[in-house]
Order: sequence, then C-alpha cells, then structure tokens
Amino acid sequence: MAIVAIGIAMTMVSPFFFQAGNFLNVARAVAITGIVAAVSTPMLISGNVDLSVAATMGLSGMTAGALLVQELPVPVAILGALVVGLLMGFVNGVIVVKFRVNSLIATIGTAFIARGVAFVINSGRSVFIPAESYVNLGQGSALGIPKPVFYTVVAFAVIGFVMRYTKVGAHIYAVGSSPEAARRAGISVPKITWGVFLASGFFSALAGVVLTSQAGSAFPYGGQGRELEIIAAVIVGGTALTGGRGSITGTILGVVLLGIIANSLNLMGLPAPYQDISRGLLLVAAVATDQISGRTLGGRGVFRGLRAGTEEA
Amino acid sequence: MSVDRGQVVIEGIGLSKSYGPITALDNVDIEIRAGEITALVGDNGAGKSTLIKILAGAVTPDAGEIRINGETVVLRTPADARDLGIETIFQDLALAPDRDVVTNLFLGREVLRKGLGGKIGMLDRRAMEAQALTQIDALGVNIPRSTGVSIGEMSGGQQQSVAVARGAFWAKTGMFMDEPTAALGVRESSRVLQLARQIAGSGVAVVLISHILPHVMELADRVVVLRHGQKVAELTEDISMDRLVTLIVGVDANDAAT
Repeated sequence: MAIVAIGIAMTMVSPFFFQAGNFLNVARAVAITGIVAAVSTPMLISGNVDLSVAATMGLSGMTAGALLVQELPVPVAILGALVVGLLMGFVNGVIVVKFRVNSLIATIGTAFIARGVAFVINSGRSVFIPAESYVNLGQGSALGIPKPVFYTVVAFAVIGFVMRYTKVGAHIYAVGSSPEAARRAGISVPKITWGVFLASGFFSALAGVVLTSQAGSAFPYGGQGRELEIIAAVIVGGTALTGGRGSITGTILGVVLLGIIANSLNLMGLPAPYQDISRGLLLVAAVATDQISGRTLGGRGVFRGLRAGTEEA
Repeated sequence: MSVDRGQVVIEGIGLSKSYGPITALDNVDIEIRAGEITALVGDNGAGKSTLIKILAGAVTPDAGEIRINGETVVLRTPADARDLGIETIFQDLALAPDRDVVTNLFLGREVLRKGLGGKIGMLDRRAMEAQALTQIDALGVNIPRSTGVSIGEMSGGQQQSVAVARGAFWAKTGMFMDEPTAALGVRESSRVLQLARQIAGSGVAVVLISHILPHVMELADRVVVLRHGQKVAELTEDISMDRLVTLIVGVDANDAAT
C-alpha cells in the first residue's frame, strides 16, 4: 500500500519516476543493503541482532583489496573475504552462545574491533583494486540488470527459501519465538544461534566484496553506518525485534520502500539530510503502527494488508 | 498398542535425588501402568516434580533404576525419554507463541519431504497439516482448525489443549502432566482433564500431578502420595478427600503404607 501511494505521488512530482531506468536506479542503490538485510531477517527472527554487519563489510572488503594488491588470484581474494566474514560470525557466536552476552552488546564490540582492524590493514588508506576481473563482478550489467542486483536477488531467494520451506527455517522461528519451548522440543538453540551468526558474517562479507568491486577500490570505512539502515529496512518490513515473527517478503518490501523514498527525494532535488529525516520518520511510523495494530488486530508491520495472502504460515 | 491395560510400562526403582543438603527424593519405587491415570500428590517440596522430571529425562537421579517396557534405560536428556514414547506437558506452556498449531505440533520433529527436497531439509507441510488435523479431530479439541493462526492469539485453555494434543500425538508409552490445569479456568480445566482420560483410554500410561484434589479423586485410577521425598502411600480405592489430606500433610503417618 505504502509503495503504491508513494509511487503515485512521485509520478505526479517527477515524470522520471516511472521510467524503467529509474527502477534500475532504485534497485542498484539498495542492492548492497539488500544482501545484508536479507540475512538480518533470520537474525532478528531468531531473537538476536548483529550490529557488526557493516564493519564486517568494511573488513572483508579491505581483506580482498589487500590480497589483490599482493597479486593473488581473484578467487583467493574473494575466499579470503568470505573467510573473514565467517570468522566474524564465529566470534560473535562464541560471545553470544558461550559467554551468554546479549547479541546487541556483543556485536557492537566486535564491530569496533573489525572496523579498527580494517583501518590497520593499510594504515587507514584505501586500496585501489588492480584486478579487472574482480571489478567486473560488481560493475556494469548483465541482461540489462545491474550485476549487484543479481547477487541481492540470489541472497533473498536462498534465505527466503530456507526460512519458508525448510526445517532450519522453522527452527529459527521457534528459537526466536520461545527459546525455552524450542529447547524442550529438542531443538539446539546454540546451534541455531551460531548458524545465523555464521550466515550473517558470510553474507556481510559477500556484500563487502560486491561493494569493493563496484567501487573499484576498498575503503577501511566501507559500509560505515549501513547497519542501522539495514535493521530499519527489516523492521519496516514487519519483522519483530523481539524475535519469532517476520518474513523475507516483508524485508524486500522494506528495502524497496526505503530505496524508493531516497530516490524520490533525489528526484525532487532534496539534499541528503532530508533523506535521513524521512527514513527516520518512516521507521518510527512503522514500529508505532506495529505496536498499535499488534494490540488490536494482531497486526505485523505496515505491510500487513499487502502481505496478508503471502504471510508465512 | 500391544500392551494391555494395567501392565506396568514405566518403572522407577529406588530413585533418589539430592540438591546439596536437601533431599528431594528418597528411595522411591513407582510403577506406572498402561491405560491408567496415576495421580501424584503431595505438598510443595514433596518431590512430585523431581520424580516426574527423572522419569522424563530432565533430571538425572543420584541413585536408582528406570525401566521402560521392562528394559532398564538411562535417560540423559528429555529427548531420550521422548524417543521411548514419553511426553511431558508442563504448566508453563512449551509452545512457540508466534507459530501456528501445525508448526507447534511438529516442533523439533518436523516431517520432511521425500526424495531430494527432504535431503536439503524441505518440510512436508501438507503431510504435517493433514496429520495435525486428524489428531485434532480425533481428540475433539476445541482449537481453530485453520492453519496460520498463531498460538499466542488463542485462549489459555486452547493453548493447553494444543500442548496436550501434541503430547498425545507423540506419546506411545507415557504422558506426564505437571499441573496441566494450574493456569486454566474451571471449564477449560475439565476439558483438559477429559482429554487426559481419553488419552489413557487409548492405552497410554498417564501421570497427573495436581494440587486440586477433587480432580485427582475424579480422574485417577491410582494415587501415589509423596511426603518429604518419600512415597507414603499408593491407593487404588477408598480415595477420599480426608484420607488424601491426612496422607499429604502427615498428621497420622503410621497408617500410611497401605
């Protein structure tokens, strides 16, 4: 509903909005955020939150850049970045599962560490990426669709499939809904928790690879500040911060809606700070709606009406 | 079910458990029979829950032996007991409130698709829905038949009915109910107790822990009374309120072991 309304309003304001090229602009702009938003959905559904995703993007991007500068093959650089991501996920898992630290605090801590290491790698300087085949992964289009959008679609498809159709997905929902009930039902809460953190690290690293290949260089501050934007998109899409509820469909809508708003304000020529203001307003409105409708109608997010038919059963 | 009504299917011999200096259970023998409702009564701290937890694999006894269907078993986790067909229903619901009836009925024991789909962990949602609805209809429980309604949106009685239906679905040998009606109203309680009777009727050994003595007298085929961690009586007839109260509080401990 919200997307349709904004779409109509934008067409009236700017004739450019409803052109195919502009939709690709929106898709390209949200692609990298989308990859991480996809994996942050099961994270939130499991009752945890990972605030180290953006720092993992930066660190894994710097890792790939540093390996490429050493003239190592592109697959090795990508593998290195993904291993760094999995390592981040593993460490977060250790802190949350073994030391029973709240995931919010744990991942704020690891985010600082990862960001610091990203700066140390090349003494705070960015790395120009010499390998053309690496840069080609994220630049340009295939079949008329920007390449990063492909990766995002794959991430959404894979995670959406797992959440909706598999036993692992059912267990992630159960752990987030009631860890005690899940435990009593014989589900290993530590395994599920560790699993979502590993996935979070892996997809964040993937986003870091796409980010650096798109940019043609790796920045130690790559991805900085995106973690909040990502969580905002997931929450706007109706996933509960308290766990147990949410869907990938909702997150796709959340990501697209935030992208459309940013794009619309661009087309209207409004400067960036106004985008932040509108993003903030939308987040607050979405969560407030969820609270009100949750109490009276059993609602789930601003998209309840839109998603009623497709809701995860 | 090949076991006959009245046959001992779950047996505890000399079960003891201490927590530090506190003896929760002291050398208790118990026999639980198929098709019967065995009630476990006693004051707070008498050892009822400890005994149930030992037989359900949730607590490891310090001493004693457990036999299920005549075979000595070691129950390390509740999963071990579940694999032997023993289900436990708690007063605080062990359900995922954001999930629907079907998902909860199969929680941790999901049915996977056949072939390749199953190998990658794909759920057979259709099979689970069909089996869940059959179970709900067989028990005649009053819960929404439509899928997709989360448990949290149901009344307390309906939620407990889902928990009981789940227990009944998986219990092949025994079903333990620890204060199943503690959080329920009068009508909802009687519905849940009726379910317990129905489940026992199907040949399952039902164990009921309850503080509510009228329920116990109405339902139980056998009443086991615990006091200070010891078994003080096992009654199958002449179960009166006065007698139970006397045994539970131990006013006249000498006429106990009948």
